[in-house]
Amino acid sequence: MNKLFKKYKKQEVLAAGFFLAPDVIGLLFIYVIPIIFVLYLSFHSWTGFDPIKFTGLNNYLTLFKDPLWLKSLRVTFLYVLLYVPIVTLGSLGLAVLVNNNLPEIKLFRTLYFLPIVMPLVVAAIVWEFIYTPSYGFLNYIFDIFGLSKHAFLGSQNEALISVVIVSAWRQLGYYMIIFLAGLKDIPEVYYDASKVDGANSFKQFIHVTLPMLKPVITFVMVVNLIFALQDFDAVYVLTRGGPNYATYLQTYYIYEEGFKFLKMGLASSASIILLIIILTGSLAQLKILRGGEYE
Amino acid sequence: MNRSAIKNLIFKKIIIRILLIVIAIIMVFPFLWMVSGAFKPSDEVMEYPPKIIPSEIRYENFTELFKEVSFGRYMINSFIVAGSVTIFSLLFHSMAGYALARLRFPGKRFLFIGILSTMMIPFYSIVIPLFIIIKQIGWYDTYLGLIIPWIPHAFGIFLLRQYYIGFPKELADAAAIDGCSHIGVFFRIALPLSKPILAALGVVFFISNWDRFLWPLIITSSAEMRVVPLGIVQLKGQYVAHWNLILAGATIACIPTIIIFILLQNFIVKGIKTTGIKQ
Repeated sequence: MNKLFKKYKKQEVLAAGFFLAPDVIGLLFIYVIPIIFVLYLSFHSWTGFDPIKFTGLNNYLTLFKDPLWLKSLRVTFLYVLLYVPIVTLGSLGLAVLVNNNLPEIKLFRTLYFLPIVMPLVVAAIVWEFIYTPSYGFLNYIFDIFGLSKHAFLGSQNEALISVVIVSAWRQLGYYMIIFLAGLKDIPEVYYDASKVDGANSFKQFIHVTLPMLKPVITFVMVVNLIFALQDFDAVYVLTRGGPNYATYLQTYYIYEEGFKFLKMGLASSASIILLIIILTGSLAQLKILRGGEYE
Repeated sequence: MNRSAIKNLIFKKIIIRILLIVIAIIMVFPFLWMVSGAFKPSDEVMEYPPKIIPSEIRYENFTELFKEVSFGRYMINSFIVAGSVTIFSLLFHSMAGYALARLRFPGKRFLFIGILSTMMIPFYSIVIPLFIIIKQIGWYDTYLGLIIPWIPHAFGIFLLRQYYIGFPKELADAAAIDGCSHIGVFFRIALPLSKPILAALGVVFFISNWDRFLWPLIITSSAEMRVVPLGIVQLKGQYVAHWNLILAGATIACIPTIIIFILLQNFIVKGIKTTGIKQ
């Protein structure tokens, strides 16, 4: 017993308490209490003004019967399916492209990184201008190449991919930097060894680069999955969930039910389901991608 | 090397350069198009086929905007919010990270795992209760309501803990022998020596907090509390199809982050490599 007390010095413990207090109290109020509160609310009905009423599983049952929520689930799924591969493959491709020793390569790296400097809301606005059907620049390009004009954000089929492109355009350079750091970490010896074995650059990429980059690829995919499941800003600015709910993401459903229609209980149960989707999605991805890793 | 191999190499370099330039155009074009539109007269901005270079440079777009919209105010608000979040985050996270890395106290492992597990909670799953709590406290439509929720951040704590684990132990020991308390060692030795990582993290924190949209959208209502992203979306609603004015606003909204980028480019890149993630 005496030993246990001796293990810690009083002064050190007090200092640790002082150092940790602000962040721990903050995390408690900003994350822990709200997550308990949202779980509690998901079993209740509340507009924010009247007394809270216990309704059991009612909110969840309502969700699964709500065509709009089911639609938002499908849209979110599709969004992830488009966004994650585009950003992962795109940024990996950019990293490979700028990982050479041309004298002007630093300039290109800077230019590719530039979009992240534009606030997402601003990027959405500028792209909306580019997407404008009647006088937008993109249709002008289509026109030059003899293609028919598109409605982009106004079309049910094109709206979602148009939003994905804006978000992806802004993020590509960011993940390019991360992949580039990963590429630089691969020891040159591996490439030399594979060259001796007669591998061409394509084979080197498949057998050396990709396996060595696996941890980085895993990281980028998981982070982007989490990001894609929580995108909101671009949709809010570009389409407000339309046309005809073609870009109605889960986050937009939560926003509208909670803050527009004041159905706090229903929005809370949708939040809980989004949380479950994000957790299982990222854990599953980690598990699949971690398989056979040699760390 | 034989001749065809050299030819091959030159050909490859040309292909790579063409590819590099095409992608560069796609990445940079929206910036140029925004700036070009921001200076155009209002009819020219909707002209088809579009003119790349404005026929006249119309500075009035900007002056009109500043007269009609209190952009200065939005800028100041964004600076206050992003700046405060950054400063307090850096201070609190390095304190917490230092304690977790260097001090011995009961329940450390448990606390560390507890902190890390909050990283799994996505913001959208707590936005409703958080809104209710902040409103109950009376921080609706205030700076505190905009700032406080973004300060605690498990990932920042984790990164700084990793940093302080690798921190030379001898320095702290030497200071302790000189009679410095733990708090003294941290503030006089550890904190000043971690300036490089703090700068790198700080830039990432600042830019990601400059960017916030949904939270200011729901937690503020008055024009005096509006931050830049909110102001620019508001502007878009106000000047429907007056693209020259909207784009002028968009251009102004980009200036602070572009300046930071130009000044601190190396820090940003380093910050991404160490953090790998934005908030």
